[in-house]
Amino acid sequence: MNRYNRNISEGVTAYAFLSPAILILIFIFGYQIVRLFWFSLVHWQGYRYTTQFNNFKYFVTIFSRGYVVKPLLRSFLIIGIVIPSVIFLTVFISHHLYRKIVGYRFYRWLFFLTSIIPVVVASIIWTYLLNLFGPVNNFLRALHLDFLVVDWFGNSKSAIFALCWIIIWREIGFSTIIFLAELGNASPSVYEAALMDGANEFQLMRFISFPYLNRIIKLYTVTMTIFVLNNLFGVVLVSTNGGPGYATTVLEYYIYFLTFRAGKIGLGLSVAVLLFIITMVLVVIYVRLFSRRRGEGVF
Amino acid sequence: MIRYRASSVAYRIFVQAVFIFISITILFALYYLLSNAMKSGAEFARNQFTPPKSFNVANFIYVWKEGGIGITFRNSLIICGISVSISIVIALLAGFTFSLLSFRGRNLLSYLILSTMYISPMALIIPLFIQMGKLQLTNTYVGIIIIYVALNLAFSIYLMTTYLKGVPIELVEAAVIDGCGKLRLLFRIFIPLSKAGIIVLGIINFSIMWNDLLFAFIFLQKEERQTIMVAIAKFQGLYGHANMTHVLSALVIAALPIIVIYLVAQRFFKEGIMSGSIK
Repeated sequence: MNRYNRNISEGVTAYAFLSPAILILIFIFGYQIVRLFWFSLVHWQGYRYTTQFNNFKYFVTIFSRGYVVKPLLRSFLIIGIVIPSVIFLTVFISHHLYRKIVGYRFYRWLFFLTSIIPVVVASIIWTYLLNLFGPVNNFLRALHLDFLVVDWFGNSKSAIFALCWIIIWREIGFSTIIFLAELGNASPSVYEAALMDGANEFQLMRFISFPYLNRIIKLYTVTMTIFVLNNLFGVVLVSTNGGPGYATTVLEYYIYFLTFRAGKIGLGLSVAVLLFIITMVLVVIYVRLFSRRRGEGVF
Repeated sequence: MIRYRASSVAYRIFVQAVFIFISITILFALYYLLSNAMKSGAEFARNQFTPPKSFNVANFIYVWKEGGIGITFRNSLIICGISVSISIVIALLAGFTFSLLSFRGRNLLSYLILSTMYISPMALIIPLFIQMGKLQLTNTYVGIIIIYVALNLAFSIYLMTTYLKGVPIELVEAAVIDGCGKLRLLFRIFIPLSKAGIIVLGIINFSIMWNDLLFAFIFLQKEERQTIMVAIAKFQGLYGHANMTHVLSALVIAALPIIVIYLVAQRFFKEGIMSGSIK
């Protein structure tokens, strides 16, 4: 059925209604992206740009000196840790919430709470909790498990894992809501049939819920990758400030560091272009997964 | 049969153990935040685990006044309130267009708008910073409001379109036959029928803007324009581990509006997030 009434289909009115949205998006996104690419190709003197072509010298520098390699690897390390953990945990949690385990209402409410706690708040609480003299380590000391005591954020090896923990902890609530909504469309008779055939709870999760969630897992993986690449600034700034040393300077934070701390805006711009391109590739993948039928808009 | 039951019980215990472990991390984090926010420095140093001796609001008053959290709280309210209102108006107009009208370039435009949702904000920040500097909009409400509206627009339009598509087409047709114009259609039929959607959109946008650190941190460096998240990030750097009770009470103030809004509008909130994420 065609939803769009031909009688009132007028391009002029449509674009008049859309004009505020289009104008503001062009100003903040379209124009600035063009400027981003243009800026990355000119010489920079401090914070002033010239109109002189720079022969790609900033791009050459970040790659030939290997500046960008470690931040990039750190970003991918975080993606590699966070996304599988979140997906496994979320499938586990949402399946058992769907199956109404004891206390499922309470769990559902409590887990969702994590996703509405502001990023800054969650990050600061966890930096305190995981501090060398914080409650978690004190608790371990009280149990005489001193060998397990780790200065999570003060140690350059463990800091990135502590960061991952904060991200996972905050993400679980939101992903559970989404996965649970998707499971809500599953037909209960499939589960009943499997139970009649003697399947146990684990098999229900592995062979019914998991395949059923396949599409949302794919979408979620791509979205989460984009999210982890681009939205870690708050967590990193508050919890570790990129340190100790450069141990938690991920690609996104590296742009901030180069541009606003080190004053190397040319290098910052070329890393920004790199991040932009990586993200755009992921967006293309996402849009292709997202649109079910070809030739139809996403709205 | 007996073996199967035994494994089932063990499995159930395992499941509960996982759920309880996650619950403990959440409950303890919240307990730690709330109980220590009310302790004095000395009491905190003695014991971090026990509940506070008295319901002490001195910390909150201190950070609100001396710590400057009060001013930043007001700034956050102004910035988020205005941004939310503007983005709702724009999203309503756009959502109305996408849900009802057919026009040239509709599909392409919908893809372009949706893709802005995922553009790397950090990549945009440098050209935006130079742009805003040139327009003298850094450290102003106007500058940050424009940025916030634009950043949340794709999501808002998407959510608004899905909501407005729920308006029954028969109703629209009847109104059109009776000679109802498009603007009246929007104000008399679409807006009254999608109040819940507008509330949800407002709440989600408010919480996203309230929680933002990156843009506020870069664009609002003057103290009298800072948002609460920036103030807390700097507060923590300033007081750090020496004055943790004050930082914790500032955190409570920062988290409170979001949690209150969520608890008040819990049902709307959950529905909104679902319909926004699942097509």
